Amino acid sequence: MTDLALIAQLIVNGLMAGGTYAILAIGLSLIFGVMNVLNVSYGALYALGGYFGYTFSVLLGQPPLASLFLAMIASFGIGVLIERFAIERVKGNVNSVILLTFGLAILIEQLITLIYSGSYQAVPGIIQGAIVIGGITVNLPRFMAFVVSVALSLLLIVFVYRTKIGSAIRVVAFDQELALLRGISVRRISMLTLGISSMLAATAAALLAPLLSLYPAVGWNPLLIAFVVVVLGGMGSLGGTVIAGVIYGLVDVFTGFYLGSEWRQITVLLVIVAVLLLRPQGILGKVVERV
Amino acid sequence: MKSAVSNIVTAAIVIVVLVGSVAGTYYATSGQAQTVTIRSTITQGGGGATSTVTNTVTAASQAAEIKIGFITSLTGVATDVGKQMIQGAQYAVDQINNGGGLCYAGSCHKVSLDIVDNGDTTDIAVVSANKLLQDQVVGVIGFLYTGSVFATQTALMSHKVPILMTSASAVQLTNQVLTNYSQFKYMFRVGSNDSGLAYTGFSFLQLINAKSFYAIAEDFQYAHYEMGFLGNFTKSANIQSLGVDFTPFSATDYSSEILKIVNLHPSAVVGSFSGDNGFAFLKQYKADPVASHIPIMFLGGPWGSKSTIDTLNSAQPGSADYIVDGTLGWNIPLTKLTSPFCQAIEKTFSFCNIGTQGVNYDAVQVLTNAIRTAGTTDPDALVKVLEQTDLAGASGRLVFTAAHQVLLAPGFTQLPLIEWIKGSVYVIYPPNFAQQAYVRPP
Repeated sequence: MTDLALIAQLIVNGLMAGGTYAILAIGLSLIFGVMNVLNVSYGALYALGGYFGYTFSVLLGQPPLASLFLAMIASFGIGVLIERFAIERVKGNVNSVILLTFGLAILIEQLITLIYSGSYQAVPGIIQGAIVIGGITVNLPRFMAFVVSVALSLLLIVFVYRTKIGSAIRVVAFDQELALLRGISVRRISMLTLGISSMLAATAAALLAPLLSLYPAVGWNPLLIAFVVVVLGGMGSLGGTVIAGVIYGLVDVFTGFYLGSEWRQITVLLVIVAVLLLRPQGILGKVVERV
Repeated sequence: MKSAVSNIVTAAIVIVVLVGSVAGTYYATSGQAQTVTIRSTITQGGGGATSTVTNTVTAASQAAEIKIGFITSLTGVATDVGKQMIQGAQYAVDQINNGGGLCYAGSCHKVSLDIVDNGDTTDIAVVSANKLLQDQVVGVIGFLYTGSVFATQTALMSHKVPILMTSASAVQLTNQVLTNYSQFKYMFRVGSNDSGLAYTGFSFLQLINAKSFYAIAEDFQYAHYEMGFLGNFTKSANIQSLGVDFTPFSATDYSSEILKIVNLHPSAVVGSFSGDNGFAFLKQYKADPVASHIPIMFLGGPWGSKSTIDTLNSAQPGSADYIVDGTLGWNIPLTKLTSPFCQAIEKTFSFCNIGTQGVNYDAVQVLTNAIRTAGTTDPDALVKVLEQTDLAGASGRLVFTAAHQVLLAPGFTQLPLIEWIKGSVYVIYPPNFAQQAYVRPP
């Protein structure tokens, strides 16, 4: 491969990886931005979404695309229930939220293990194979994950910034008391937010499960990646999360190729530290002024 | 009223969440919830009578039970391998109990496995080892990871608990027997070590007349050791190493590594993964139109399981085709016991993997044989007997070296190469066991 072709391939790989990291993180960013809550069970919701997809497609024989939608709906429901009956009760106390969501994460993982066993499960993809365009190889499942990630991210941004409900979400994110004064039900918005967040986690899992693996503890690594991307992008900033995801993907891929796999994680984290030193609020995060 | 009902529901959910977390963690890390149902079918080889024996405990239950600790992956990425290890060990235990128990010094004892989790992190292994010490097991078999052994060996050795490793593969573990015999004499390995596994990689490269190779492995200690040995072997034979990548355990994207392989175009790729992260790499490797044509082999790992191969192929057709595994045998007549063992195991589990089921079956036999011969469970007496072991096992003729490692050599414990093609497995090396020649990926 020529140097130019190599770099082009790396950019394509990085963008595609970044797209999936973005959709992984955007749900977490949404929860934090709106509810000011660090949801440690996000990784478990990712795993649960993957297993919903597996259940619908493999166990119940539904078409892959239909399985994806059904998994999204099921995960939305779970998110709503978790917010309504669990997180809402302890939201005022940060430590309680972390403890509760951590417990939920373990509970979900153990339930998955009990129901599905701890064995690796294979999930067939909606699409298989790869195509070569101008000398650049494009892995089709990964490309599809990227396209869906970008589409969903844009849809979410449009939803948040261009719809009435989205406007309500932004008001709640800005100031819950102000939202109450304006007659906005903070509880309903929170339920909706966690539902959407869970749905996004499930989407990421359903898209990535055919490429990777599906096992009960699969959610912990995505949680770490999502958290890093959210911090880099600016907590609560959807656009920042997308940009950060892409940066993560590009740095990860280029480092892996030129420096070696063992340098990937450390390089990504060094880049993040460097960005945060220059912009502590993250790429598109807002500076909060304390009086 | 509505608020009261809502509060009660919420309180109930919180309690369920917390209790569920605790209970789930407990059951996941102990052997209590792990039940292995074995229908022990013992087939006499050579056309003899076939008898099916159900699990019955005879008068053996009267005497004190002999508990053998068994530590393997009940959680984490290698649970499939852990399951197979338990299958082999439990089969041996059932066989002993069905035969009247472990009889020595005038009485017969029921044998049981005390199964605990080594998890993916050493802290889980430490907790599990402490439990085994509390349960006063006569020995510990298993250990999936080298790190787990290092983390627990001090406690186990100080309590003089014999360890028979069947998966943790660092040569350093058994070398401790040579450098500090008095402390580490209780350490034994039934199964291959990193050097033996690396040698399978070298054997494969020689088999295909490779001029160069590229190595990729998970960033675990054992993999570093394996690749180190492989580098030494290949250097001596002028096979060029084009590079080695140790991928983070958390890696999900292998596009960089695969692009490197495509760019360098080695004669073959040698990989080492212990669990599900290897599946992700393989799927992405096989999806690449260039990389998928480069021969690839793995140094042990989960590739000896037909269920794994079928699962991979069902998710991504062809993803497990033409892959080679250096493994501890695949129903080839390593000893007279191998085939009957495999036939019996296949009847129960529909597949036989000597590298997981067979080795752990052998380890139980080695330990119980030592107890029987020594006439005691005293660890020092057991060590003396274990050192004299010369037993025909399912995985080979089991004789320990001075470092308490089973001898890895033709006629003893030997690691053949197998190749998967369209869901069927073929032994391709060594020549005396080969069923067909290696088939290159089209």
